Amino acid sequence: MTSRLTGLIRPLTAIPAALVSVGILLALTGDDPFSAMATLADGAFGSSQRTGETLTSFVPLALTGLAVAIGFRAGLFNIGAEGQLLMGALSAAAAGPFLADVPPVLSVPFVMVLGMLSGALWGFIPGYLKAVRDANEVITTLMLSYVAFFVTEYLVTGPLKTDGVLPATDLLPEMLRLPRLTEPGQVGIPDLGRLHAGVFVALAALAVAAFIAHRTTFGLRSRLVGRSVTASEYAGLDVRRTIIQTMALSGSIAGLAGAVQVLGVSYRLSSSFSPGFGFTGIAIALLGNLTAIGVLLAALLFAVLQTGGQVMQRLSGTPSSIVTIIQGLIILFVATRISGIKQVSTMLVRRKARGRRRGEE
Amino acid sequence: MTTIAFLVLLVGTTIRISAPIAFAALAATHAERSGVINVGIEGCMLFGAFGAVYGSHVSGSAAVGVLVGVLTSAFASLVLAFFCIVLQSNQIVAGMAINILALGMTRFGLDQIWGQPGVSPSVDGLGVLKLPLLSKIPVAGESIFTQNIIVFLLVPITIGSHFLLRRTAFGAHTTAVGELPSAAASVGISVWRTRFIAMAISGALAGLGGAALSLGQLTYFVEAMTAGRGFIALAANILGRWTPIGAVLAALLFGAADALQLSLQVLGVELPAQALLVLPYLVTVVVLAASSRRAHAPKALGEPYDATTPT
Repeated sequence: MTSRLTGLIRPLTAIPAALVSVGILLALTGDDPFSAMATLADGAFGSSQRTGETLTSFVPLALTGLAVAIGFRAGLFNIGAEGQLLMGALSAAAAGPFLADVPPVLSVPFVMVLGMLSGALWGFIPGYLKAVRDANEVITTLMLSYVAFFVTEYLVTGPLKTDGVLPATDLLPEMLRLPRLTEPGQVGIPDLGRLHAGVFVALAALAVAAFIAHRTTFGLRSRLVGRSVTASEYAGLDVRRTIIQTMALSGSIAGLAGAVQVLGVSYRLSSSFSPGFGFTGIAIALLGNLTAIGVLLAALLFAVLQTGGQVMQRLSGTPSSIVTIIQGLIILFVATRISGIKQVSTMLVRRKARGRRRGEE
Repeated sequence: MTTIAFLVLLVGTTIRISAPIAFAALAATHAERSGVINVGIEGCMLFGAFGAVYGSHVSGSAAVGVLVGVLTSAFASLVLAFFCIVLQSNQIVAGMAINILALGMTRFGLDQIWGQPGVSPSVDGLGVLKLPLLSKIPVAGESIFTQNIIVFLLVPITIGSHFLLRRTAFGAHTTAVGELPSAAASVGISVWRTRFIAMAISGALAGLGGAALSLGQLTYFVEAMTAGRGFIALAANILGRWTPIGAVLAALLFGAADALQLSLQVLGVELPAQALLVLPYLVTVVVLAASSRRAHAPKALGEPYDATTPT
């Protein structure tokens, strides 16, 4: 009970603290923070299409947030979800055109699994290097993100480039695209814009991940390794295997995010495919306290910030970079340990007491 | 181009390209020797690169710019230090926060100061210095010993760092709080103060690296221009076994990968641009995999120290 409560304190203080900090920053630069926030909220919820757009960006954010959380829970700082997402998107976009004649019941799951495998490979490599060669995964996952970026950049401008000027792959065949939840012009139903069936994939992934974390031995092993590698070794756990499996699983979820984004939204891979879903995933995982339900809520918040921020920039000229700043501040505040704050107050009290004693002398 | 001319070009470019990574690698060494993993080096470099351009823009002098960059970065590093040392935040998570903050704040700054996204206007950059005598060496001298001023700072700063860590009381304190903070505290060394100073040095060096990038190699700021160099620097520090000279030599190796791709492009080698651009990142992964050297890491690396426990 107490651990659940303290788990809530940090996210619940981090959000207002970050918003207030950004509000002050905006006020200092001569912007009206309240109208900026109002425009942002309007941008995220102002119409049914905008709400739909917010929920559309929830899908990749929830999945990358989950991917990062799976790694972090095992003490593995997979900060390369961006690259794993790109690899998943790449394989989906590359395989798509060959599946025009396959019934969607088969082709859609196939493409998702393919995306997961590609992401898993991009997570397996740093996992293997960590487990076997003790290579720091903070560095290797980020480096591999750059590698994934240049690989996709090369392919969308070269071998896989579609006809025309766009640096992008061919569009997916109609059959393969995930259906939208609403069509414009339907009577009695609000038009939710580009929101697609992939949202159920994201929700299902969150549920499955929660099950794996709490109801399987793998989930337990993974969390134990996160708590203490030494203790896990004493308990006879195969730490190396757990590290490799966790990193591959983490990567596969990020890869799924990329594949679903291709199947449901962009229908292709292009140079501007990801606005940094994988990096936002880090903030989401931490704000969500590394739990599935937490990731769900945090992903919603960041979907609001991201979608609203873009509209805000378009309408009122307040730069959307403040969303990145909010993201950084939230991570910074969430990272603060309650024990750390207690310690500072202890020291301050002691110092004051010492001062008082000196005063009395 | 003859083979010799190509090699000379390669060495000259390597030195020029390596300087930002080398300064950042020294930044990593100073922080980690005191027990703090400075994952925020990437962000500090970005703050430094931005501060340098802004300082030069306002004052019209690149030297003032470098100073502003160094101070901005040192300040960012001290903020991170406060979270890592005093508030005992997870060092990797807090470092990532600084990186993301740097990305957002420099983008915000570009918009507020110059009202344009992505790139700043050109400002007064660092001049090029021809080392007397050495640059007169036939064939190689001209290319290798004609560099922008900040590159030449690397040699005294590397030697100075080596000297500081190996030959001074502060260096001994740094090593002590990085290896066994409780023991250091029991003989009267302030763990927190030592780590704060190490983080300030680390931030200043990262800022110098950022300035070398924005005012040395270019004369303007580009959004996210550090492009992972802070992380390559962390790898260089590991490869260099947590020593200043080792870290700088490792940085030269990574710089060589970068220089190789530039030189090959100059030669007009028929390869896709991306195949060359990806080299430094691939080399970093391969080198990290080949050199697992945990054994050389400071024992208390990444562990917060509770200074309230009475000893």
